[in-house]
Amino acid sequence: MTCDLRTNIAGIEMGCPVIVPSGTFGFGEDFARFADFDQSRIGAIALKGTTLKPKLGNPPPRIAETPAGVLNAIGLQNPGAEAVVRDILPRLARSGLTTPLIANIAGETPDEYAEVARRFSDAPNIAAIEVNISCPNVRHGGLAFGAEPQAATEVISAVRTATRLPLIAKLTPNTARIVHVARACIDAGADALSMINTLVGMVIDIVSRRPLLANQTGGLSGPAVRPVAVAKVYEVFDAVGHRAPIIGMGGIVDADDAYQFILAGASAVGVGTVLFRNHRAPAEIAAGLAQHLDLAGFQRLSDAVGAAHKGSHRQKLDELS
Amino acid sequence: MDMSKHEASGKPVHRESAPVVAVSPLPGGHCRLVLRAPAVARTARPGQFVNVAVPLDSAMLRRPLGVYRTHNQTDVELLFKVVGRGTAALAQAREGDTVDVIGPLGNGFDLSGEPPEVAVLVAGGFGIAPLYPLALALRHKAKGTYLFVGTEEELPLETADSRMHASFVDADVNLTLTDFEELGTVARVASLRERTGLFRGLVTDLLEQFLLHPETAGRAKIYACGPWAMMKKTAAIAAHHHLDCDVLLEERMGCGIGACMSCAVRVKGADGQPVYVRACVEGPVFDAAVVDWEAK
Repeated sequence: MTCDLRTNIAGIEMGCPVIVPSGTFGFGEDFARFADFDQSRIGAIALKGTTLKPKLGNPPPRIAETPAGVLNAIGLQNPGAEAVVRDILPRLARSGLTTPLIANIAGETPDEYAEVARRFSDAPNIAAIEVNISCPNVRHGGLAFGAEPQAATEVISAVRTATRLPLIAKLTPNTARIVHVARACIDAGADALSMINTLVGMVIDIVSRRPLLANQTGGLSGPAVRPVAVAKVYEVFDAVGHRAPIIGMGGIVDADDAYQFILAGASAVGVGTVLFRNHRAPAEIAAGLAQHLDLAGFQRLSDAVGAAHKGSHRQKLDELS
Repeated sequence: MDMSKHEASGKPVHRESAPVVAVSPLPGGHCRLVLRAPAVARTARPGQFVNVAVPLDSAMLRRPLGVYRTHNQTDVELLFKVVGRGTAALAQAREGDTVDVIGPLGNGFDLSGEPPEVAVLVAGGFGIAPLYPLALALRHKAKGTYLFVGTEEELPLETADSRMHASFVDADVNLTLTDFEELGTVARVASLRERTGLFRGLVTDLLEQFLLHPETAGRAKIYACGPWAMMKKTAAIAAHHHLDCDVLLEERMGCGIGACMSCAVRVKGADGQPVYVRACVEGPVFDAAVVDWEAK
């Protein structure tokens, strides 16, 4: 028996529950340089974060290694929505790529997010829009939109009115109110959640006595963040998992890690930083996940989603009521 | 910027589980590692690099290392300095171990056109490693190939008294690097300290002395690899003498194949506006005239 790994995230049918998260896979073309790269073993590709206007990005250094992780501050370098829709998406279509594509959008104001979403809505090969709400809200002192439910609502509502494509809200862990933000996103029209985005971190160069990254702070990813990510997925699933599926991510390097996220409540997982050392990770993780599920007697992936909550205090309360 | 030189090198990338053929420590905390990686060895061009994984508990990211030499179309020789956890782990590899390597990566030196009359290679410290395959490729092509190395540390390569004449320096400046002299490259070493056989001064002083010398002045092309300040000075000297200059830039890197945008280099864009390009795809070799040398 082989467990059925198919999953559905916001209407996107995926043959495999392993996606590649935004920022780790460029615009979908670079990894194709590996002769043995198997795109059929990727559930979906979240494209590089795109803004309305082209963005230069941060000065280097943009990356630093940390214990069991990577700190990055790329600064959303991208050619702008128009160039992506006009040049890159048709090229991807011509290349024969059949993996569902998720456009990841960013902006400084809700209107800008909405406009980027509108541009992508006309593209024939975009399956969903993922909204990066970790961007600073320029009009409100630079606090991330995703840090507060009210600001998150404004962004998701604006994008919701701009497109009929499925919406995925990408949640930031840099807030004490992630459950409130998740609920606000769903109320405002998000069909699914992806989590977690990177954690804010800093490395100081002790020789120059300055922050190592030119941007000073960066986003931490890799195994170092995994327990945080698992806890957040568990917490959000507990509160709103019945209303929207979760794409869980944060430091997954193998099938054991991915299985943890499924048990915590994720219906799909994102595999990002590990791609930089192992481009076969998505296929290997999908295969390993199927083995785990088989061994545990799950016939379908969906049967295992959130299984770690079984018998939890919360669930007992639910059963009593 | 001249895009013809900087077109994204979307060339196939190989991944190999490469057995360690030889590993040996070199002076000054350097290491020499020979890997059996035939797909990389067959296709690597001068100035390209490989990205090498070390065990996950040592480092998450691969380490970009310039290809020093290839042997018999099967082996790739890497020279590197142990500077952190990743390179330390790599230096611990033993014969019979396998190392996960991807490559060849980057654009490499553009050798497609007419070879230069005179090729001048300028290296700072361990910047010599990626220049060796260039010297090899230019052998019998350029009329004269020169290598100038600036270093304050012990050189990791074999040195000897040169048997090749160099009119642009005093006769007692005669220490050479054996690997390069065997290729017919006139190699000389510069140091700020007084050391027997070495040119006293910056490597860029040695370059200027060479370019101003009546017997060697002429249509030279300069190739440089080393610290930013050294390459910036080299680029300025090249511009002053109206000479072409290619620089090989070593940046902090993530994926090595163009996806993560970490290894950004600021260059002058087509419209004169600054733009960041990727050292791992559009580079690591750049026309010195397009690099924004004030960016660091």
